[in-house]
Amino acid sequence: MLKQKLKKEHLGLLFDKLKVTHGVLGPKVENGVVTLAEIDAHDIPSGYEDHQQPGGYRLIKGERPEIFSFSIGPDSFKRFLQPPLREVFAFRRAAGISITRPGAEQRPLAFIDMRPCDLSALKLYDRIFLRGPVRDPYYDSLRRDSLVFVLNCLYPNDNCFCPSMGTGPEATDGFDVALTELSDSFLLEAGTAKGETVLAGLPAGEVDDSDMREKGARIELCRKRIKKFIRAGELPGLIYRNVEHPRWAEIAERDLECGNCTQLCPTCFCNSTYDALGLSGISKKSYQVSGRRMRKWDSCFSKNFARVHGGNFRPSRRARYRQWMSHKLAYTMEQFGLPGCVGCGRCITWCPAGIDITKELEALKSAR
Amino acid sequence: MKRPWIGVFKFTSCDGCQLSVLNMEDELPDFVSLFQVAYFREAGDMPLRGRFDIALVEGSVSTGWQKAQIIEVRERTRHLVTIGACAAAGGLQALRNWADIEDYKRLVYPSPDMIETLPCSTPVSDHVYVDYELWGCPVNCDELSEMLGSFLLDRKPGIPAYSLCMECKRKGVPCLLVAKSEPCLGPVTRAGCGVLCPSMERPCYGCFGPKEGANIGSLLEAFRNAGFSSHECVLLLDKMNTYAFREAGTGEGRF
Amino acid sequence: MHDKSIPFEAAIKWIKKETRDTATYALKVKSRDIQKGYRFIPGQFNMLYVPGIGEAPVSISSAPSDQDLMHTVRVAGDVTTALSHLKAGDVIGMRGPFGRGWPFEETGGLDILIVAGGLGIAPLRSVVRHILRTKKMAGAHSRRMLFYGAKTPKDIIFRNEFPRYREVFEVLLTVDRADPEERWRGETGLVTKLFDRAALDSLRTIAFVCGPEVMMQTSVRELILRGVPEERIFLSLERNMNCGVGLCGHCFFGPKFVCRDGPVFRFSEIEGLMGIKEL
Repeated sequence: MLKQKLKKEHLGLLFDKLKVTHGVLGPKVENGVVTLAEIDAHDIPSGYEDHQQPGGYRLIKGERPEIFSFSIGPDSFKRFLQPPLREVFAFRRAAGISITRPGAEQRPLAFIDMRPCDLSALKLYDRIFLRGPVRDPYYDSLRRDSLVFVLNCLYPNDNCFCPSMGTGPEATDGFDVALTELSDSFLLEAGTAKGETVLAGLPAGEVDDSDMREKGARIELCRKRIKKFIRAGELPGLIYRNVEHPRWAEIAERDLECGNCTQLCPTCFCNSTYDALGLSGISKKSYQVSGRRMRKWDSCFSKNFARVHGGNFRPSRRARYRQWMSHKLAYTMEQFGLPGCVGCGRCITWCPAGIDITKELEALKSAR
Repeated sequence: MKRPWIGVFKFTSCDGCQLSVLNMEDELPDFVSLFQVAYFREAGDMPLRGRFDIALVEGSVSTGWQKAQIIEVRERTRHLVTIGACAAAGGLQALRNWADIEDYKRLVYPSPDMIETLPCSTPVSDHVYVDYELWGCPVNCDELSEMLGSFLLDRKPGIPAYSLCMECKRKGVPCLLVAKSEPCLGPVTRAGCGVLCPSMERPCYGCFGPKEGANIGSLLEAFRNAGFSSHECVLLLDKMNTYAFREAGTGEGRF
Repeated sequence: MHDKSIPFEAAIKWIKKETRDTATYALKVKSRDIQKGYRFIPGQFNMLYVPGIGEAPVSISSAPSDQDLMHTVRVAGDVTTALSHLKAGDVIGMRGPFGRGWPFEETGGLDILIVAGGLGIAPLRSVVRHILRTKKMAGAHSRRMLFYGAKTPKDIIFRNEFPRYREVFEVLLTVDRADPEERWRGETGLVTKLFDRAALDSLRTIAFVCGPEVMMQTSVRELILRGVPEERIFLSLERNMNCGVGLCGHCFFGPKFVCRDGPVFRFSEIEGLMGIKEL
């Protein structure tokens, strides 16, 4: 596959090229946080460093010379490929029922800074929504047209543990183009024919062995900077053996059940569908209604998530936390053959109570 | 479809939630064409008579007269819905529940003897059975519309009981507590406001009351870790939903 | 192929009240194309949709060979309440069929034992009627038993059909309690009480169980105690299916999607999960 270099000052050219056909999504600072939005090259918060800890995030202007001097923020691809709220169809009920599906008018998307951990989550999303018994047509149409530029990581944050999950800091497959930021340029490696097409026409520098060595060295340095780890080899057994561990109840005391972890986790996909109609959707003529059926991100931390008429399958907070962590670290592997945790650490950073999934897993090993 | 009779009632409150009914704007014509308004304090003076299919009750119960009146409203009503923080939790005026009412009276009024009031401001549900509580200070117009529509359709309103954080995350608003150590009540507060404050970089102060199963102790621990004193933490919760937040906490008046 | 996330129209052909709170709805898919492609096996469910109200998973209570597509529904939540206000000729939405049904192919040459509690009879009625209607099938089993437990005699669903069932099945009924004036002549007590009456040939038995979770747990325990192999016990689980196709997460039972991997499970598949509270 095609490999070439792009001078850093030419990054804008890549954007210009992509913007003709795609909405280009990349990092941007908003309210002191690196978020994901449609951006231009100059929006990239170069030189910023993010400091993350359990329940804490700070962005500061630092000394790092790289353009991509920061790690991941709260957002991931899922906000765009499986949006937080979308219309499934509009309905009208009178004598019969008429259903109108929304037109698909969205511009294709290009993800310019997808990190290897998120790329692994994307692979899981593909399994869930494209390769299951039933395909999700909405995801399918967006995903098919999207371009994925994975950015190999140089600076992890303190909550990253992708090497434990085998998902980073370097991506090996599943992308259209892989970017690695070198000292004087970007190394671009196409992963698909679609990616090669994008690269064609950009001012190309030749790649030699020293570039590949630099890439290797930089990623290796990143790997060494990663502080957290879990023993993924012990999964899923560690979870299955400890369903009644007292630790679950201890976590429940700290657990806010705010749902932040699930909403930001790039592999969490739970959602609820419901009919939205206000007074304007109700006709005075009895029985005539119109409205929209909506699909909204949901969370197993919502108390009503497992409710049926006459009961709730997970009435306690302890059970709901256990459900979430078990799904991440055990069930997903069984369901889809890929880990449900990609080691991105978002659930740790964005938990206001600072609950750290790596520590909780460790605690499950202690005596019962 | 027979148009149900609706009554809108008011006890101790600022009238803001009744105004929300009038603020439904686009849907106001639907409101009056779908319901027969039998009593509406904010929209005109009417004597209380007849029966109501649905009653919207604003305000807390804080006088002896109101205590009697709410029972009468309940007796005349098939489906009683409270609107707003005052009716659901006693409102801001429930702050007096943690103090001596006689002290307050002396402090505020030149002739305290003329003031007839109960020592506590209490939620409507402390006095009569409430079919549904719509939270907020004031209530959200969309939720109001959803609740009224659901009443007509005989279904449970699709109004979430989960945290404001869920709404924040869906909107892509970065977490103020995590990124700025702001004392945001979002994690223990019901969604529903549409993320009014956090989207303006202001921490949530709990207008929509405690969410289902709010873990207040844990949030206050996070506040303390961010440098707030225990006293400051209590003050954060002591706003329009003080009564509900204290009740949902580890015990009345202590955290 | 039809998009499984979009309901299609189904007209209510007739409604039959079964008990105080339960009724059977016969539905007719309006689109000919969809109707032609619509195939289900007993044990599968549909999502029934009342626009403006919502969707509910309801198992199919008729047999594939029945002329009408039936659903037997107890008034419990918003959707079932809305259904109870409808009349023949009204149109609702429907998606399906979803999930894994009862494994008929494994019943050949065995004693088939059907154990139902309450509304749990609905997906099993599909099996019973299927056996009744396909004579060849009926001959394939050496013995056919139907044990059914209801709260009171008045709560017995499909009561008028039991005489027909008795032509092919050994039918035993029990109720939790019966008022004296109801002149109940059957058993009172748990459905498991009936196991002793039937003298099961455990090693030749294949059991299909559906009912409230506690009833299924005790039934399974009793069956295993009597030596019925775990691989030959099948249960249909209830969860709050929302999408029906494994894309929403609501119906997780441990690692299982009840909507997709179930609702019918082989007990040996879920044995480890069954005893865990609040899974």
